[in-house]
Amino acid sequence: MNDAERKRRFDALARRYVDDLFRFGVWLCGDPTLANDLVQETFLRAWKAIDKLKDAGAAKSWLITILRREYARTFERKVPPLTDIDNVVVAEELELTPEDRTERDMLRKAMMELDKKYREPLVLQTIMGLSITEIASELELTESAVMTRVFRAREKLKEKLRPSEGRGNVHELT
Amino acid sequence: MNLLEFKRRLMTDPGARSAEMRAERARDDEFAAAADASNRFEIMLHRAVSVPVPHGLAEQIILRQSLEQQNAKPAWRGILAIAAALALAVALTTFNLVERNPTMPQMAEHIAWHWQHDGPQTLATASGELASDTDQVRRVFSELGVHIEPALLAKVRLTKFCPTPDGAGAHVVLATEQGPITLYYMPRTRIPSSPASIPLADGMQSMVVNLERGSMALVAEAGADMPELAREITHQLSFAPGMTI
Repeated sequence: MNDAERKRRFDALARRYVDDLFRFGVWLCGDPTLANDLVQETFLRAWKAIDKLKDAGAAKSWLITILRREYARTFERKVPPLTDIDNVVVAEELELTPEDRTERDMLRKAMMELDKKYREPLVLQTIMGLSITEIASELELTESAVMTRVFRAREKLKEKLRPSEGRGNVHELT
Repeated sequence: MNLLEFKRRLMTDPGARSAEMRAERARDDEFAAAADASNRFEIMLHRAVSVPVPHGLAEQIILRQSLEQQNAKPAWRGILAIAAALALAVALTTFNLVERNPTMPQMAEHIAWHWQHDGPQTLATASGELASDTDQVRRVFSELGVHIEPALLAKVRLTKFCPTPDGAGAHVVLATEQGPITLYYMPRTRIPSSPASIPLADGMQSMVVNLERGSMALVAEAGADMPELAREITHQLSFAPGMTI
């Protein structure tokens, strides 16, 4: 692969996956600044190893693996203890109704309070769109363990939201 | 499948709706209600996890990679001083050779794309408080090998790296007497005939001017005195011979 080809491939990967990787990074680190650095480092490493990516269809999993390794290698020890969600999410679009924003913010707070072992597979499923099989491979777990964790994650989130149902600002969470 | 199993599947893999699940949903109101509740929750969950992404993050990453690549030193450079000196000499004397010369249609296409990509948003960001402090501005220009005069520095509201036809450049918003002006500095790009006017789609106008090193494109509202702005700004940028990009 010549330089121009590598560059084209890299640029396409960055444009396609950077937003989701940043979001994944935020939920992994609990800090947008660290997530930004983490994603930047991930792509620098991806550039150096881009010749090793033979199958373009595997690019997403490949980038997630790089990001998680980089997080474990460098960033995990920098992560502050549980973060206040207000520090994680700053200015945002105002297109949602106040009720929707309240629900979203409550759910974010509940997400931040989830144990990482529940939050990570859930975020891989919801943001990165990985299947149970892919998550199991990425996290080196059995499929059954992943299913249990994402089930428990949703269950815990719903439990956290349940007390607010009486105020009428949370959907029915059967 | 019973209702409990149906709900368990919705909780573990809500995106994977099998034919069997679809049939159960259509058959029974309780199943349908569970599926609807799951849909509502998944929408809420998706909103929650979709935290905002910093504007232009992909472009920043692409530019950073470009800069790293440009700044990468050949392994042999540190081995022999003589080779290092030669390499430097070659790099300096051939600097002009690596400047690119796009055709005017190519340049017009790039400026139109760049403006459409993030021009109005960046202008809006810069219209509030000062978005880049002077250290940031100096740092960006310094990385690109440019010295910016204090009078021009005082007018800068925002600076960031941006793509050009040939690698990294700077995207600058200036507060001038003629209103807010966007400046794209393209350190490796020159046009065949300078200056050149480029009309933009939304009533804006652009003028591209070759500089001592590279070129710049100015974008302003129609009616701004572009030649005067270009002349003024050109005199406030300098390029030290030892600087590299």
